Amino acid sequence: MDTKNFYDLQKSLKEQNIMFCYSGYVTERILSAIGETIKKKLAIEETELGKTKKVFSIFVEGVQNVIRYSAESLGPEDQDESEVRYGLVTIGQDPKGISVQCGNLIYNKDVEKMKERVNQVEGKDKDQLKKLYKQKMMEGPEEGSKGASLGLVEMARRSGYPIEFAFEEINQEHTFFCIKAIV
Amino acid sequence: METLEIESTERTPGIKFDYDHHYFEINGEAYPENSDEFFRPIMESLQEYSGLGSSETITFVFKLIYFNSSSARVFMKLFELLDEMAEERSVEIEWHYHEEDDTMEEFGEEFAEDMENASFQLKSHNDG
Repeated sequence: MDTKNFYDLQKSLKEQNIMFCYSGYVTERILSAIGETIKKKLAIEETELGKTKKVFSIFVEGVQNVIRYSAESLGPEDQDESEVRYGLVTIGQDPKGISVQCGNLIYNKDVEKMKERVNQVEGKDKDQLKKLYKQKMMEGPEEGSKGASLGLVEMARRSGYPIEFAFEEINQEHTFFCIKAIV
Repeated sequence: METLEIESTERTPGIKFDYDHHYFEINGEAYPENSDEFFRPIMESLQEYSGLGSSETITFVFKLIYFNSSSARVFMKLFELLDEMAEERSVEIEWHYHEEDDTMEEFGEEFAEDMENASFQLKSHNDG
């Protein structure tokens, strides 16, 4: 057994002040289970209710984004029932507050589309985001988007600081897409 | 119409639409796997009631803890329908939220902004 590597993993998380980490396949069922755990953990830490609700909201939208867009899936694609996608979610202590980070692989061919969505949200202040949220609500979901762009706006609105996005090309097929919010 | 009652779960809201008494309530959490699918029969039922017409006052109470963005979309449609009904009759909407929950307060204010005919009251509480 490679205990050293396994321990290093825990140590690394601790060094980054990550109090919660999930890496693996996410389903809607796992989403609710982790969601409940996060709420309990934040309650134990006596986090203010308003803050807890914001972390929870960012977490739900982030994970639903992974479930809907991740390139890595178990089972055949284009079948709603098989929406088991691979992703990484962490919640940690940041000097500025509580950080929520979500990451997953997306296909390179989807990067442009995702960047477009991100551009709509990036650099906007609270009032602009509020307007954008309303506009997206009125428009209804984009074709084939299952409502994720509204989810991104929601995440940005709940973040106490400008939300950060990153795209890291991994190979010819995949890009690692990452979102970071701080509450 | 018969009362529509749905028990709440960890992630879907409790629904009580008491048509005979024109009293409606939605409470709890709302982040279903598929919001459209979950709310479709509920919205259809409300549309049917709206079509019946009546001059009785409608009381619609929201006691939500959390809802996700795709449920927000459904609520917007719901408020549109309520505001439409309020052209013909009195519609009183109550939006309950925890006093420390500024997200829910903000959502209430935003939905209220769009109401032209219905009355929309924000009510804060400090329990739970």
